[in-house]
This record gives sequence, structure tokens and C-alpha cells, in this order.
Amino acid sequence: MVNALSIKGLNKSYNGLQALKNINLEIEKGDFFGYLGPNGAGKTTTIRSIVGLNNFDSGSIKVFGYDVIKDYQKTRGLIGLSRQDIAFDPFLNVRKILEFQAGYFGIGKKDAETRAEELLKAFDLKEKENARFRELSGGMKRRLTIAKALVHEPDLIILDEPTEGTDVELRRRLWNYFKKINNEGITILLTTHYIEEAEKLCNTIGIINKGEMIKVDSTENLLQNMSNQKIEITLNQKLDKIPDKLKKQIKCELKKNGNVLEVVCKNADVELSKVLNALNAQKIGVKHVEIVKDQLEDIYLKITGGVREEFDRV
Amino acid sequence: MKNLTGFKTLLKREIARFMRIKIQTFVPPIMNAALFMIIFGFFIGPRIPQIEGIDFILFFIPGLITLNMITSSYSNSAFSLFLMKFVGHVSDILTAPMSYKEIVLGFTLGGVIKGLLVGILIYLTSLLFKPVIIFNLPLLLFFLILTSFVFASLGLTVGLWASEFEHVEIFTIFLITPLTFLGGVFHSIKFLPPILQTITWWNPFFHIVNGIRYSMIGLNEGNILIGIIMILLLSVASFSINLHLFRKGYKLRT
Ligand SMILES: Nc1ncnc2c1ncn2[C@@H]1O[C@H](COP(=O)(O)OP(=O)(O)O)[C@@H](O)[C@H]1O
Ligand SMILES: [Mg+2]
Repeated sequence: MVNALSIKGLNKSYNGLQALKNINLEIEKGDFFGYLGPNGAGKTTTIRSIVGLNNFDSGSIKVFGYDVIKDYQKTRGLIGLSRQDIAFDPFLNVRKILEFQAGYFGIGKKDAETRAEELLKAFDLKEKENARFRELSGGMKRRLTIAKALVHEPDLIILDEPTEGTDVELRRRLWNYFKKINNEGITILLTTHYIEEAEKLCNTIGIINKGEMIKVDSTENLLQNMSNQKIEITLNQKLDKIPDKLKKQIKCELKKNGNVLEVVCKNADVELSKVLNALNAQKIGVKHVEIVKDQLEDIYLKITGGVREEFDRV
Repeated sequence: MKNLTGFKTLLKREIARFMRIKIQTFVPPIMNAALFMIIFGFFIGPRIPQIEGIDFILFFIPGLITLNMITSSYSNSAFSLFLMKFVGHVSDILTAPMSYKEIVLGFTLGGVIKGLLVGILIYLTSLLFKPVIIFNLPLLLFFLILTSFVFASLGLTVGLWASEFEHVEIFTIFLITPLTFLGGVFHSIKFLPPILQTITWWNPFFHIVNGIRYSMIGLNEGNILIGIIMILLLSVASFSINLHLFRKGYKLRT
């Protein structure tokens, strides 16, 4: 089956600055893909290359099997884009913005009106349909941007930081909406630097840093395989050294920290009983056990080599 | 692949844009033309000898129409595209499934329609001062439409290139206005010494003004065939340049 998006060997530089380095990416039909990376990583540049707002140096991009350069009209018709930067036609009111957008995508007047009406309702903009966009709040502008991307019922929706600058309430509503349309079979590519957003919504996550695709995997795998889990066992006594016997029996990394023994492993649930048995055999008493699992955020920071402070939490 | 609806929507948008600023769009050229007709037609005109048996006011009405039409169609597409780039919503057009031909034509024809409307309004205004019976209507329409087309195209090129408001004005100030005036909006080429007459022959605006004047009032000071061929060539060339620039994404794609 042909993929919704297929990027091969994409390179892009801006006067000397290599913004994308040999990006490869496959997104299956129906996937909810999270494109995760810190600011300046190259997410928007990738998107602009897909939709034709960027020229790129080399590589190929296909949308549902169509080449974005050779069959540009076809691919543009299949994509709905919600850009990171908000910009609307200042000569049109909210309703007209949606109707004209539909027109640009080849939708006739009658259908355009119906579609605009649907979206005004779905995005709670009905009250503001006659307003100019300057009269809208930040959240409304964001909603209008997303509504505009959906006007022609695209098969692939690209959302570039759709929840940036939104409040908690709107964010939840948008998340629910995205999940809903994804469940209806629409493929979604969402960029974000909010880890929680990717973790909550996406089936697949690609992590980009400094123009390089560092990791692409299912969210599940990423959380499971990439994460190191840790069993923290508080002992009744301080250990001078970790007993050799224990080291032999437990194949995981062992660290001691005062009277706390740390077992770093891939699957804490499996290792736990082994560790406890081994300790028991050594007659070492256990006071308290805690399992610490890495969050996606920790994994992400590990991969991108970033520091926690750099990232916004939702 | 054709997206006729997309093209029509863009054209509709372009028309909606200048219709929303009707006063700004149509009143200045009409006021300006009316003032010229009053001052030069009524106050000064009678003191000027007839040109080939034609009153001065009749002589310059076609020139006035040409001048205003040219500036209107030029500035319409130039500012429209420039503003779109400036505000950022030009990407709505660029990411829509329209062919580059449809995009370029949509913008250009918007300017053509505005130019024609301005021309027609000035013509109607002139009827208040001097009823003009059109000499050759098909030829006049040919010249008006293609002249607007050429300058709407030039406006689009400049709008693409411009990174500041001033850039758009520079062309009006240093190219369009002087060359149209020197092309004989208000004066007969016969008023000039031979050397200047020869230079005027190489000013494309002369052939445009002359073509429009001939088809309006029947006075020909140049060569109509040259005018026809020139305006056709300019139309094709300016359209092709824009098509090429849009296809390449000049100043549109980073
Ligand atoms: N138009 C541009 N001209 C020059 N450099 C740019 C341009 N757009 C983006 N960049 C640079 O390319 C890199 C990637 O930017 P971008 O794709 O916007 O990142 P992200 O969307 O992940 O935050 C950054 O270093 C940015 O400064
Ligand atoms: Mg970005």
C-alpha cells in the first residue's frame, strides 16, 4: 500500500546553513505522526518542502505516491496545511476566509458555503463569522487556521505546532478533534515541541534535532525500548560493595547509593522478582521498592542532548 | 490539471479587494482627469491651436485615459501581491492546487479589470466635458485590454520583486509616469524638434497612446500596426516572464 508521505534523502540549506540533513521519513495512511524536535530543529522546513513553500536541494517527496514537484497540483489538493505562522487575508471576514480557501481548492460556491458553515460550527466561530481576523482572539485565530486547513477535506493534514500559544482548555478540545478526524481515517502529521502532546496523540513519533532525523518509531516502542527503567531498592543496611553473587545473578546494571540499590534495566517488572530473590538469598533486608520509568521527555532529552529547561511542558 | 474554480476565486478575490476600497480606487483618477479637463480643456485649451483640426481637450482625453489606466492596472497587481507577501497569506495561494498559469492569470486579470474600469469611468466623465464618438471600438478594446494586461503583468513582476513599499512606487515615479507623459499624453509629436520625434518613436508608450488615440478619435501620428504588434509582443513576454518567475518560486519560495 502506498504511504501517505514518503520522504527520501531530503536535503535543504539556507545560504550555507544546512537546515535538513538527509531526512528520510515514511508515514503510513491513517497514521497519527508526531514530528518532535526543539525549536530550530527543521520541522517547519520539512513541512514547507512538502507543500511547496520551500525549494529543496536534493531528495524526493511523495504524497500518496505523487511527486510534490512533478504532480504539485495533485499533492497540494491532498494536503491540508495549518501553518505555524498565522496569516489571513485582511480583505475577507472569517466566513469568507473559509469560503475563498475552499474556492482556491476547486470547491464550487454552494459546497464551499456548506463546508464553511460546518467548520464555523465545529470550531466555535459562528458568532464571529462576520468579523475580520484582527478582531479575533489568539485562540480563535488558531482555530480558524486549523479550520481553513480542513476546508477541502484533505487526506493528509499537516499541523505545524497547532497548539502553540493555546490555553489548556482549547488544547484539550483540539486534541480531541485531532483524534476524532484521525479515527475517521485521515492521516495526520503534527509537529510539536511539547512532548506530552506527541505522547498523548501520536501513534508514531519521529524525533528531529539540528536537521537530522534521529529516531522514528511507534510511540509504544519508543517508550518501551528506548527507556531505561530503574528499580530503586532501599535496603535495611548500607552496602560496602555490591556482592559479586548479586552481580552474577542480575544481568542489569547495578549501582549503589548509600543504602539504596539501583537496578537499571529494560523491563523492571520482569527483573523485580529476580532481584528480590537474589537479595533474599544474600540475606539482605529490603525496606522499600520503587520502580522509576523514564518519561518520553527523558528519552527525548537523551536523544537530542538537550537540557530540561529548554523545553516547555504542557 | 485545471482548477478553473481556483482561478475564478482568485480573480474574485482580486476584484473584491479593490471594490472594498472603491473610493481609494476610483475617485482619485476621476477627480484627477476631471481637473485636467477643466483646467486644460476649458481654461487653457482654447488658447492652444487645434492639432490637425482637433480641439486640445479632445486630443488629450485618450492620453488621460491611457495614463490612468496604466497606473491603475500596474499598482493593483503590484500592491496586491506585495501585500500578500507582506502579510504572509500568499502561501494560501501557493499551497492551493492551482497551476502557475492560473495563479498568474488570476492576479493579472484582476489588474486588467481595474484598469478597464478606471478607463471607462474617465471616458464617461469626459462625456460631461466633450462628447467623443468612438472611432473604432473593436480596436479600442484591443488596445485598452492589452495595455492593461501588460501593465498589470509588470505590476505583478514588481510586486514579486519588491521587498519594500517604496520599490513599487519607484517604477511609477521613474518609469511609468515620465514615459507616458513623454509618449504624448498632452502633446502632439509634431510639436517636437526632429531629434526628439525620433526618440519618441522608440518610446513604447508613444505607440500605446497613439493606438488608443487613433481608435478613439481617429487621429494617427504614428504607425498603428507597430502599436498592435508591440502590444501583442509585450503581452506575451510579460506573461511568460511572470509564469517563469512563479514557477521558479522567485521571492516566493525560500
Ligand atoms: N527563511 C529562512 N532563511 C534562513 N534560515 C532559515 C529560514 N527558515 C528557517 N531557517 C533556519 O533553519 C533552521 C530550521 O528552522 P525551522 O525549520 O523553522 O525549525 P523548527 O520548525 O523545527 O523550529 C533554523 O536554524 C532556522 O533558523
Ligand atoms: Mg517551526
